[in-house]
This record gives sequence, structure tokens and C-alpha cells, in this order.
Amino acid sequence: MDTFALRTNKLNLYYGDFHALKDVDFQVYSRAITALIGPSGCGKSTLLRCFNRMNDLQDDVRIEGEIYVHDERLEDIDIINLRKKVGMVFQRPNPFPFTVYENMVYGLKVHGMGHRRAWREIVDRCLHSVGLLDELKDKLHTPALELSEEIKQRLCVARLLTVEPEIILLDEPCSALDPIATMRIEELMIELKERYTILIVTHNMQQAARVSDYTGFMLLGDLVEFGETSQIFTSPRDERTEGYITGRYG
Amino acid sequence: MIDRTVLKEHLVKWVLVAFALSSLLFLFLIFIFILAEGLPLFLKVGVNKIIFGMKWAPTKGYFGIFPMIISSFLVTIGALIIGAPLGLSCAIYLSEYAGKRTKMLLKPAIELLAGIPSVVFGFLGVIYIVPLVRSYLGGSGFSLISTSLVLGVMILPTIISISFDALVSVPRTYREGSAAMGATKWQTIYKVIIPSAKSGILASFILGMGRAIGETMAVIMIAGNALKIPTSILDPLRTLTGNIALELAYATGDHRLGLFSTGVVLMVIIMILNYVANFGIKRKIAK
Repeated sequence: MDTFALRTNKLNLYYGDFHALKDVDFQVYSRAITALIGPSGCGKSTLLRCFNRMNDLQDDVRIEGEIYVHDERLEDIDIINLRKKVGMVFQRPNPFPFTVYENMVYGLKVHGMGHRRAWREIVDRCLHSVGLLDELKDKLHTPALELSEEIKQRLCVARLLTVEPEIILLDEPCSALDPIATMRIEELMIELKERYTILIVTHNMQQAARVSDYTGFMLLGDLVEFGETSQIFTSPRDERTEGYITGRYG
Repeated sequence: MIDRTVLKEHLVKWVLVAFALSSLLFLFLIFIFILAEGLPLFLKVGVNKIIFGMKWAPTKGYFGIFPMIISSFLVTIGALIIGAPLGLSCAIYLSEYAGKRTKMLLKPAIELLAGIPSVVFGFLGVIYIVPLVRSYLGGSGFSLISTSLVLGVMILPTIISISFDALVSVPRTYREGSAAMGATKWQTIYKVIIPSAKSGILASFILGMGRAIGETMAVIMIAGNALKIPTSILDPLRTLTGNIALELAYATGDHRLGLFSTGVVLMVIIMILNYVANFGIKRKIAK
């Protein structure tokens, strides 16, 4: 079994003339939580979005270097299967303007997974995984947009789980949430790492310190330092990392 | 000095208010005028005999416009059957697939299409569509299907521009969310974007219908203007608008009032359509 779920080798990314990622060598350990921290515009979201090729949606992006998903080259995986395997949760909860149930079966429909009759069971199981089953089992046919922000974000995670991903990318998933909701999502992440590999981008250092096993610090497109979270936060090797975590800038 | 500037500011504001309100005034006047001329006949002859009357012979006291109401609806539905799929496809292409350059070419072309006078559409219909229908499908060619075809093209700009706005305003986060689930572009469009833009798209269809039902010149040139309910798509027909335009020039007395009554019916239909369309648009904003 490979230890790295995701890996990059000399990854460079350009938005037009702007050099957004510079020679990034980065690893994400399987079944652990890896956090990417750094000031805004440092490239952490851009790096995250490389792994499910969300950058493809933008014009004018050029990528050089290698990306591996479980030792398979990213280019060798077709984009549909890649995005099924590597799911993503966004900064703002983005349930579709349908009912809870329709949101939950969206991925199943898109990938033609399972029989319609088996869907209900999958929906229940995935809602249970994110702790929403009791809350939503009687509200499956209410519009998802009427839910609170935290529930919406959990629903987005649950929606992802229906297509059985291996890796979950979280792009500042708590930035639209209040502190209590944030705490609950963090607990959810820790529960999910038993079964999934998690990569989270966050601007909140305490969050990285609380939930992650490994942390990467990025600055101006460089991955400055990468290591176990306890090491990064207690004895950073690079003085730029130290400057950021002690709050000298960022 | 200061007083004069302030005065000028106020003056400009009030002049603009007056101009802005004038459109409301015009609407109100039109409303009053048509009702004043059109309602008396309803009272004299009876609402039923006008709206559900089958015979239109105003000089002999028959004011039935039921065949025209049906005909107006038929050409409108026909126009929608042709215009809705074409217009929606075009709007989807423009909002989801077209590159910047194609967009720069297509959007002005569609605006130009909206600006072509309806008499030109009627002219092209008479020259090309009518003979084509006559030789390939039979009949005189002046028919429901010819009219629907031409109207279908005429309502395209309305449908395209309003559907396009509805599609473009679907939040980027829905597209990203769908793509991140592994949906293909078409799955995203079909399963997420179109359902999200549903009310705007429906509004575009309804406003297109309003445009079709109100169209006059092209219709009288192509429809054949026969006074009966068409029984096939090759039959000629006369619409409410056509009736007014064809006869107003020589109508007097009750005949003239009959045409105003036709106008009242037309206006009510269009008001209902507009109301329904606005309701759709508002509901979308409320969401």
C-alpha cells in the first residue's frame, strides 16, 4: 500500500504570466488530515485545486510538473473518475437549489451508480456519516437552500460521500461558518479521516493545529515547509514559517 | 449663487420625474381609451356573444371573435413550439459554450434580428415560406404553419436574451459543485444549470408568447385572414391583431366599436401573460 494519496513533483502553475506555484514538491499521507496554511494569495487553494483539476475550468492556466494520485499520474486518470475519486468541498456551502434528496442523489445519477431502489439506503448512510440523519431524515424533500449554513456544508460533504471518494479536498470549508459550526465541522473531519484522506486549505492556523496531522506552509507560490503539524507549530525549521505562525505577518 | 445651483438641481430632478411618469400616463391613457371605446359594445351585445360568438359580421350585428381568439392562441403556441427549443439552445450555447469571439459575433446578430421590421419578416414569409408550404405540404400556403414559422423566428431574440440572462446568473458555485462531483459539462447544464434558471427561462417563453400574440403586420401578410377556426396546420386563420389592422381603416359605428372590443380582449390576454412572466422572474429573485 502506498503511503501517499497525493503527491506532486516540481509542480509549476501559471495564470497567464503570473507564476502561482513554484516547483512545489508536496505529499498527502493516506487516511490522515493534511492542512495547507499561508497568507491569502500564497497559492494554497490553487495547489488544492490541481488535485481534482478544478483549475481546468479557468482560462489561461498552464501547469508543468507531475501530480500523482495513488502513484497514478494525474493525466492518466480520466477527469470524470478523478473527480469521483477526489471530491471537493468549497468555501461557501454550495448545495444545488433542489431538495435535500435531489442533492444527495445527484452524484449517483451522474455516475449511474446503483439502482434507484438502493439510493435511499445510500442517502441515509451518507447523511449518517456526517451526523445529519436524525436532523434531515424527515426533511428529505425540503429545499436544501432553506437549511442553515452549517447544515448546508455538512450536506455538501454527505453529497460527496455518496460517490465513494477516497480523497476529500476542503477549500476553507469553515470560512462562512460561526465558531460553533466550525467546531462541529472539525469534529466531522476527524471522524472522516478513519476512512478518507483529507486535504484542507485554511487561513485559520488554530484550525490547522487542531485538526491536522501534517501541515504545509506556503508563501508566494512556494511550499516553504512541510512536516508533522506538531513540529511545524512548535519548532519550525524555516524562519518564514516561524514568522507566520507567531503572527508577524499574514 | 448657491441658490441658483440648488434650484437648477431641483428643476432637473422634477423635469426628469415628469418625463419618467409620462410613460405611466401614456399607459393609463391607452387603457382608458381602449376601455371607453371597447366596453360599450360588450354591454350592448353581451360578453358571451362577443367572446364565444362564432360569427364575425359586424355590419350585420354579429361580433363573435372566438375563432380569432383561438387562432391567436394557435399561432402563438406554434411560434413557441418553433421558437422555444431554438431560442433556448442558442441561449445555452451562448452562455455555456461560446468563446468570447463567437459571443461578440452572435449577440449583435441577435440584437439586429430584434430590430428587423416585422413587415420585412412578413415579406420574406410571403416570398419564401408560403410558396414552400404550398408546394410541399399543400393548401394555399397562407396558413397556421407558415405564420408559426415566421413568428417563431421573430420571437427568438426575446427568448434568447432573457434565457441567456437567466442562465448566466446561475451562480458559479453550482457549476463548480457539479463539476467537482464528476459531472460532465452537459450533465451540469442539463441537471443543474437549466433547473436553476427554470423560472427565468419560463419567463422568456411567456414574454415570447406576448410578442407573438401581439404581432400584426407579419401575421396579416402570411396568415390568410380567413374567418374560421383552423382545422389543420395548413388552414388560413385570422388573429385578433390582424382583425383590427385589416378593418379599422373603413370601419364605422358599431363595427368600429367591435374592433375596440377585440382590442380589449387582446390587451387583457397580454396583461395576463406579462403578469405571469413577472411572477416567474420575481420568484427567482426572491429565491
